[in-house]
Amino acid sequence: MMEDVLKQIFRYDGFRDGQRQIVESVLDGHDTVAILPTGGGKSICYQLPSYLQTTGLTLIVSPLLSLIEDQVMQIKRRGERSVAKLTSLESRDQKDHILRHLNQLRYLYLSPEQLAVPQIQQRLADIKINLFVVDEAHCISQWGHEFRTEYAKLGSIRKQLGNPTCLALTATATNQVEQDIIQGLALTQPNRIRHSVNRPEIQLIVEQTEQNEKDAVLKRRLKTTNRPCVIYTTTRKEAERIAAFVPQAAYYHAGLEPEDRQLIQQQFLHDEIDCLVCTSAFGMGVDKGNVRTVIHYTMPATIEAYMQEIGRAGRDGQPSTAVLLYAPGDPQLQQFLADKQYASLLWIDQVTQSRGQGESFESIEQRLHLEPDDPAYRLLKSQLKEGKTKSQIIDWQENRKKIRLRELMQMINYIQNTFCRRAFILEHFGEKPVVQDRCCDNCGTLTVDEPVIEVDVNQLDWKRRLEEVFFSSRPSV
Amino acid sequence: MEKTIVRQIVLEAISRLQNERTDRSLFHLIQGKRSATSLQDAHFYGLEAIFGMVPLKKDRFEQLLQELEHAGWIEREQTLMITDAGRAQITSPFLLDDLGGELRGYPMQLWKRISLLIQSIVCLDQNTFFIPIQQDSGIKEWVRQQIRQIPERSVWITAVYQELNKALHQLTERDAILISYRLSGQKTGLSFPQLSERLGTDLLSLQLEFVMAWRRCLRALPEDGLILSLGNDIDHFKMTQSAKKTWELLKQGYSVQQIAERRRLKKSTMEDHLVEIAMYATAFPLEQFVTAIQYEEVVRVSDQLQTFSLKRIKQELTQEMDYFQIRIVLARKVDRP
Repeated sequence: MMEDVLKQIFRYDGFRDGQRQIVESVLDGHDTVAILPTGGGKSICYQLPSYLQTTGLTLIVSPLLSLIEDQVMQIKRRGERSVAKLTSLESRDQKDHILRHLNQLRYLYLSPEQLAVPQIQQRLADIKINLFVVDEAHCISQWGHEFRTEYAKLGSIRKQLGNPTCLALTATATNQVEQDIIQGLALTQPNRIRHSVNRPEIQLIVEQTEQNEKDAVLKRRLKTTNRPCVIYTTTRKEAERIAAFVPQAAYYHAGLEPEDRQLIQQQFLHDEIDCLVCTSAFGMGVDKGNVRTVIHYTMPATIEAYMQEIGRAGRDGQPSTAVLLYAPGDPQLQQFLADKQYASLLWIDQVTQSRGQGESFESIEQRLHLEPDDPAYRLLKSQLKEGKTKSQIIDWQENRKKIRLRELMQMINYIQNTFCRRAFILEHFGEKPVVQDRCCDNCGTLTVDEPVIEVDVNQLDWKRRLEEVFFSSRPSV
Repeated sequence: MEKTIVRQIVLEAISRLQNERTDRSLFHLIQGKRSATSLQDAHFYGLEAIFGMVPLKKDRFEQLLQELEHAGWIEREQTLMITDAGRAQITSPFLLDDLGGELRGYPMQLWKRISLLIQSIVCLDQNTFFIPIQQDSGIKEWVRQQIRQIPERSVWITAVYQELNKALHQLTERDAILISYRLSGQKTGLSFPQLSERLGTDLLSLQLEFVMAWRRCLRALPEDGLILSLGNDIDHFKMTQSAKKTWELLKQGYSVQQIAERRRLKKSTMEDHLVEIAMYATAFPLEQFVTAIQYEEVVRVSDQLQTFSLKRIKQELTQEMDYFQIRIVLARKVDRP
């Protein structure tokens, strides 16, 4: 029965590791926590059960617009029309229309912000919800690297919706984070399905150098690793600078015009460019199977983030490589960036005082020149709205900073550690070490690629180009 | 200092402002702020084409002015002024007249529609996966509707290709490159940073060049052709919505007083609307507001002094007139295209 649906609707011949277990658990009405590595076929786990139930809605909470867009598009492409999304991109009219036709839907994707809207909750409370899916569930944990305040409300919202069966999904979670997910979503005796975070097809390399040597090291690396290749940087400027000297590379970051961003993603997916230099803004929801190499020009702030980013390599299961460049000074940069996400003591002082005197947020923003979109300020504002006092906020922030510092230390340990890197990561996630070929630079069983980099020397020629845009399958004249 | 396209365009705009407006006025103009003053500035000083067409943030705009000042091309006091050295940099014809601001959002709106429609139809026809290059949900919805109405995809593709190919032949090599390399279908368009690297132009200038190229392309396309017909319903009226309502009532024969009461408009708002109507409408009941003699005198003074400064004109007038009356005259005086 399940296999029939898998084949007819999703066009897969068989389940991948863990998928069947998760689907069965959910169909039995058990709350479920599933930890599947990136590219492990998460979406099947919550999209399939719906076809084995006669009525009811599958509600999916996801933190990223691009991810939601991507999923909805994929569902529609396989011919399923009864899917909708509620995000900041929909107009009022579109939202009204969706809310009036909820009972005709199979899937509804929501951002956590939209789910927090009382009218939307009211409408949802009136209909039957089969499954309450929380994607990227690690965002609920204050111990996790991507804590989001809106996720903290999901537990109580789920209760208001009549406690539908819940499926919490994430790619990476330590035992601590898993506990937070269970508590935060108020899951009752959940089935816990965990798959190894190990990605055996990716060999792990760390290369230590000096700041002024990094570019040279990067260039050398690019000569011994295959493309398509993703190079992660910490800042937009750095992405632009590196793309300028790497042959056949383009940069991608959130500062690009929306149209340019789409163009670059599409070029990369279509193999029209084979090296992308980007900030962490790239990646979520971009499903490209043949990425051969992921290089980090600067270390990420946590091991979880690192695993997620290198997880973009080798989704097709073919041999791939992850390289992390490290130079003294990198951790300080990360710490600086982390601290910037929290309001300074001066701000907290000024804003709490003004609020105490009954001043509106808008007036405070204007008077103190605060950017309403600044994440540090937004966080402060939402905490004040929740009624937190000044000392509570300061304590909470100090605590957060400590957690982040500890996470950064773990990342440094990964780099400095002289034993097997894979074993280090597995241990971090509470798993046992494995022995394999192409493991890591410390184990010394690496393979070296000899990439062929094709340089496009063609002159710009609009006549040829126009033809290629409209009919590329026709040979150019 | 190198004379880039963005510098040249800003320089042209400053020269047209005749040393009568501030840097803030210019910023609002290029931002396309639909306030009475900015609309009036665009109309009086021949800067409709630049209205809302230069995507500059405040700090980048400030930096640009500083560069021009540093090069000795402009001076900044109360008002913005072009120097002789700056004037020497300007060559005719002016670049800015091709930006298309007089059509308000129309050219870029049509670009978004046509670029996404071409990408969608070509990829659907070939059954290839694609990421929609436009994310605007209104545009996507419009494209979805259109796709349903196209019976034969391959016929449509060939027809649009031929139309574009013909139009691009009438443009310069460079304009044709800018447009063809931004389009996506079987091949994906280049981002502006990629194009600016290939063409060796700074990013902002390149973006402006693209806008101008597309404007010229629209002129080269057949008026009854497939592409232009896709933009027939795009609003390109210059008048603001609110002024338009006032105009409708005026045409129905209501008096200014009645309209003000009915719409609960303040006197100053009502006047702003009337100036807008005088600027953009083909017919306007001028005699309701000024006499023929008053009209003649304002036109004469403005021409003599070569100015649109209301203050200077008022000082020279022999008869008593208020600022609103002078604005109305100036609004009608300027040639309408």
